[in-house]
Amino acid sequence: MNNIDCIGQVCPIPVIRAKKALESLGEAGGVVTVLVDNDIARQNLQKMATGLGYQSEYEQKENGNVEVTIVAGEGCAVESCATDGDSGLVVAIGRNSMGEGSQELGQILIKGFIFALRELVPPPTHVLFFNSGSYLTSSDSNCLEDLRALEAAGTVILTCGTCTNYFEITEKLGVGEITNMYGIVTAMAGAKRLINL
Amino acid sequence: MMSLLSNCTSGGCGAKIGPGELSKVLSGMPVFGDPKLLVGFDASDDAAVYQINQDTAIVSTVDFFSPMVDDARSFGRIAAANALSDVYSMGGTPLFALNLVCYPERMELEALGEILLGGAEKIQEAGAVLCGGHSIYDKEPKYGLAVTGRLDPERIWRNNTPAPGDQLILTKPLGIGIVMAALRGEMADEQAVQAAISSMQRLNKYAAEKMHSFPISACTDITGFGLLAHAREMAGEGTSLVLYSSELPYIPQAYKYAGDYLITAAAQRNRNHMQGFVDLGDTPFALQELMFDPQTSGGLFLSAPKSCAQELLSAIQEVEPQARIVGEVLLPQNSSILVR
Repeated sequence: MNNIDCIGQVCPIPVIRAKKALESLGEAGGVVTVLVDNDIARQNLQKMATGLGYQSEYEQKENGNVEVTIVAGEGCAVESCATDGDSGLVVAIGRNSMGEGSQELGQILIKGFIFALRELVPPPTHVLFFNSGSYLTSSDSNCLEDLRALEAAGTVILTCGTCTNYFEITEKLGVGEITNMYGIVTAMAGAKRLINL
Repeated sequence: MMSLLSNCTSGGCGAKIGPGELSKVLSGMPVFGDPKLLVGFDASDDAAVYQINQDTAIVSTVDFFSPMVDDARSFGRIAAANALSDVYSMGGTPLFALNLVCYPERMELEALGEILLGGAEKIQEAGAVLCGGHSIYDKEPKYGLAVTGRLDPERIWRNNTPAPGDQLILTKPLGIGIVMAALRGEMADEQAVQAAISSMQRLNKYAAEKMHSFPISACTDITGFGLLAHAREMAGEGTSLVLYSSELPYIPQAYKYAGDYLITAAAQRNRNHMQGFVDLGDTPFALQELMFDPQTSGGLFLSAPKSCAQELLSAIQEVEPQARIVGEVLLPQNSSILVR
């Protein structure tokens, strides 16, 4: 395992170091982890990994640091990408409250709903956020801890980029990835079961 | 001598506060309603324009940043060319400039002298005069200018007034940010770095002078926000722009560097900001990166009627040989920007 500490380093340095480490693994492949201190560096690392055909995942660490794990070569797989026991469940959340009636109550309910999603075994394959639902993945959301736990359990968290731009919260994304409508449609079309909220 | 770059975490226009963040802050500002203010910050334009009398307006702008190159003289030239550019992109002529200087107490003053000389060279070349400035101690060196120019109020080149049917011209090659990122990663070749530095030092004066003989619908200069963010500003609500990725001018090595993932944080911020506003089609990754690439002292990006665009391009190519027609203006489509 190669561990690269890129705290305090700005792009392209983390990407260059990760790429060199991956290349040095040769045919055999292996795992490279990179510790960075900002989410943009995480995005650039994953852009590189995806572009070069590697699997990658990341984990939020303390102090806003992010650890990105990149796996190169056949036979190695990031654990959370394993498809065993895949629930095929996709949850689509298009609002930041649950049910009609009281908005205040609705916000308490949606927080409880997302918390309860953590208890599902196996977890949903995807949770999709759009329209006012995209507030739930932004850094001010009180659901971040639950969503990060879901993500750590292998759930892909996707938020509609058109929506975050509309609400001007793109820079505040606190969990998961930005996606477009194609990504949302693809996730929905691939679902065995779909919960629409 | 102590390295200029060793004191800087990020240099050039790549260090600009992100466009999304900035508009959030500015949205809380009062709107100033003076009718003599012809272009204010609410228009997100390149510089402010204030009318003095019927046939004279003044154009005013300020720009400064930390070094993106190690050579002090070059940094001075680049920072000054970048600051002067906003006057040219509005259609104005620079009259006078003031220095803005931040400099570490523990660095040699000799390098500061070189920075100021580099800036003064460009002010002279612009035909303007240096008339003062302000300097303070700071952790990181920073340099730039406040520039005032004059302008015919009937001939302001706004950034968001293109007409459907117009063609779009870009005067300088893209890839400055990527080449500087490669340099930071010690993976850039000398020729690419020289091309980038020479482009950043070059005044937009010469291209703008050619443009004054033609009708110009809209004009802006490319900054750290990258080509696509400026294209979106230009498109506004009333039009969509189509850009031809195969026609884009770029520093040749930058294409390879982008493919090698020598990419910047600013480009990724620009990409996030443009999510939902640009349809990239099947544009290859490296060309996408070039369109998101932050430019320091970038070229002019302008919209002109199709009937004269070819002739205008030929005139601009006399002074900016890499200038190209890179797209055209459409009636509003599904997406603000289409890349084909």
